[in-house]
Amino acid sequence: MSHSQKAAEFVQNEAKTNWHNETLWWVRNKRDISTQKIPEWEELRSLGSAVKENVMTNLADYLEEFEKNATANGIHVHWAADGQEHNRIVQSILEQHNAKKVVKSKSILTEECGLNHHLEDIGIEVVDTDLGERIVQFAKQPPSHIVLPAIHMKKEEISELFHKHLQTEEGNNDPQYLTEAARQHLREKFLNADVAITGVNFGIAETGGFVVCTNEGNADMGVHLAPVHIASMGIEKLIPRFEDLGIFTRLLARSATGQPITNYTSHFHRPESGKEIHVVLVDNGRTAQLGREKFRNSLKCIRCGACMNTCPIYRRSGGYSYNSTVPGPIGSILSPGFDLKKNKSLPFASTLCGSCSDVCPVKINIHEQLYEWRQVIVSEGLDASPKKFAMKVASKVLGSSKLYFSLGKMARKSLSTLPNKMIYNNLNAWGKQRDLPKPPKESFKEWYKKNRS
Amino acid sequence: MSDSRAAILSRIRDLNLEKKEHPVIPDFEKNGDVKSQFINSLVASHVSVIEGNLDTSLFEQITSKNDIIYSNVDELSSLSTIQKDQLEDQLTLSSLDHVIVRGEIGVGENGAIWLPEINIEKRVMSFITLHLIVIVSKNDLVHDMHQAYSKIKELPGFGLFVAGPSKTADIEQSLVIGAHGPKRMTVLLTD
Amino acid sequence: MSKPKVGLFIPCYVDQFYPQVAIASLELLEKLGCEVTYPMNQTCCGQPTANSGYEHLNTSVNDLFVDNFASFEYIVCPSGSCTLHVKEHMHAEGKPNESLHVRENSYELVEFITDVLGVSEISVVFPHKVGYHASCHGLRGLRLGSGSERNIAQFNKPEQLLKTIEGLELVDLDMKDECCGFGGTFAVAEEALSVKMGKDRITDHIKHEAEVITGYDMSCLMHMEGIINRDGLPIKVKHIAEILNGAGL
Repeated sequence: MSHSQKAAEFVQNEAKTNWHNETLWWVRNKRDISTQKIPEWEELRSLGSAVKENVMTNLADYLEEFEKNATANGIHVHWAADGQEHNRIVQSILEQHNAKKVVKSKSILTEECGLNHHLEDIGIEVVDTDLGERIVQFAKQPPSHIVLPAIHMKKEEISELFHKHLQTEEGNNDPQYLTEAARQHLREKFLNADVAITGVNFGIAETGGFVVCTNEGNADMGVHLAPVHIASMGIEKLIPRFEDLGIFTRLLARSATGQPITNYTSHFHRPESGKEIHVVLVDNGRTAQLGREKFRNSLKCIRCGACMNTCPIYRRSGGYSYNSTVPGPIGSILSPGFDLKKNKSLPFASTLCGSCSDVCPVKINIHEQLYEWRQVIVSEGLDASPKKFAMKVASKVLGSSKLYFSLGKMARKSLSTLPNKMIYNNLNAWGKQRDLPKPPKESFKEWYKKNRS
Repeated sequence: MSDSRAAILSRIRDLNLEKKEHPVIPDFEKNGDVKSQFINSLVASHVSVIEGNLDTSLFEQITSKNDIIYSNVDELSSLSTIQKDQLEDQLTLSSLDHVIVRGEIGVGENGAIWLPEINIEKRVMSFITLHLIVIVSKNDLVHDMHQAYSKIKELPGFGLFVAGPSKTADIEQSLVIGAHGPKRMTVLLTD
Repeated sequence: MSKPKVGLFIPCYVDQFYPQVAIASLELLEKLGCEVTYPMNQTCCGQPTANSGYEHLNTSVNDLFVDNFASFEYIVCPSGSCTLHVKEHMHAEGKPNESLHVRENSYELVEFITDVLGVSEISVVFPHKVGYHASCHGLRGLRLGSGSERNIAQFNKPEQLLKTIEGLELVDLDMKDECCGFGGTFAVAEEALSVKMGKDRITDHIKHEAEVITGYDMSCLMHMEGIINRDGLPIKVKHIAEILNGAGL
């Protein structure tokens, strides 16, 4: 299904659409308040963008530097060309340790690779430990937002899920109560895990370490209790220097939720004695995107989710309308690179309003890239043929002042003479819920000719 | 060395991208009283702040009888109710009521406190306890994260900026303190 | 000082459906001392096709546009969206200099008045409560205002002019620069969302007791007007050129 079909379904529940819209706008507002406290905010964005530019254009060198330093720190570094190889690497580490129980913390990359399914298929218990991710895992759904995974759910739905899976009281919708139930449930999972898997927010080439940010502390609970820590990291997550963290820790949480910093910003450089840390560096289409000049800087993304919170489309259509691991504006410029045909409707799920580009902490020109993907989709012949035909006609008419003049006159005339029944029919999407403008007696051109020339 | 390693690196190098310089991070202007900024940031993040000295009597007000306490601060070691080697037992760890550690750096703009591994004893300790108590000296406060990172001279195997008790807002964006880790955090700000 | 020589670029849908907006733009520019010409052979800037992914079909549209406007000192248009398209994408093959001239000298009407003509006050009367709609392309593309996203000194060129009008009271909005959901072909391709967004915008204006929604893009206003008329809502739309030119409600 295309984005527009899924969005049309979503807005049918107007009360929930309004709630979703208002809740995310509230998060966007918190972001505004928090960024306004930093006089150098715009300069920080430029710096973040420039650091990432430096990373993109020196990526191979930084990857080698990271590997060298991480290895010297006693971290095992693995390389995966795609999601499948990533999953095989994780599987082999689990097998080496005869691991059966895995706790995982928020990692969009493992979602992208389909790791959970892969591990479950070979009999591993995988527990997502971020509260929001645990909720959607119970519901057998993917996250609908990269920072707020269960934002599409009301507390009543969550209460029902918890009643079923955690035997909480039926009808008790109190977030405090439900969170406590999840805490007890997950505490047991943390204590018994064989391996903990996390994502990576920033990998540091200079020091061979990496940073993981959470508010709940779930990543740390997992990795410090389990004997083995596997960190999955997209190759674009590198930053060159330790000092760069000053920029990105200031940008990330403020953009994401409006907090001045995440509660826990954990820096891993060496395993705790007797334990292991593995980092899996994953390409999975990233080098291909790096090769697409117009779309390259989508790889600067630090996964804050600000573009989702600000997007008037995302807020009113929900994460699932995008049917893609990363939804929202940034997803709509990343996903076509993975599978153009499947994701061809996404770059059109935008009014090109540009708010995403202005909130982006690393200044990705998201809306301009949406425009460029549209050109690619059309030139690859993936656009629907009725539209193709209409566009050909339009460009003919608009390319000739004579055709434009006579057809315009005709159209206005027929609009004013035809009965409404013929104008407002199923073929007229504009007119389903909107009136067409009342056609004037004469166009400006006609008026000008009469009055001014 | 895996084939994928070579393949990924060569795919990148074959693009022959024009190299862009790393920017210079300027010295941003720092304004205001860092101590009050630090305290305000902590309070906004649901942290209790006490100003005082390392006096064990202070802790009587924030702990209860029979609580399980581990202090990794030498001057306060008498407060510990368990021994260091008991931290190897996960169940003991999981029943910790209070953990007392020393923070190295406090950041005014966000209330974050740098806890290098050496100050924590066991990495999980400051996450698994119900109540995390951090001692920070007023002399160790900085304005922002740039200053904080430039003060970290030795990289620990693990280090953490902690900025409040564990929290979540994953259910309808309602804030709940104590998602997995500490339900309480107290900072003792010393001279 | 000689009069600024302006080529008036009227977007296709304004020409066809809202001639009063074009007339107001023409009269306003003349009142403000410009020598205005409307090139008769103009059609459209090509944005509808380009935003739909068909920029490659715009060869003759671009040719025609550059031919019509390359000779003017300034090209002025009562639409932020069309102006932005011209500034970002207008290039006629084989005419790089003319294309560059057109791109660099195209202005949206309000910014032309405030920035080029240096006019800071408009002496007309409009005794009504007005909601200002900041259309996206003018706001974030042409930077007619600072926008709510960025942490920079606040400014808003259209509001600055509207505030000088006698009797005009600007209402505050809950979401002062939210998109209305028009978005060109988005309005039909994503009909359900587009209408929902439009309704939300109108609701915000009505809630704050605006009698009329104004803005510099008739396309957004046309979309909202379509919903207002269909649902019989107690509010009107009016292009900013009409208000600045002294029209009544």
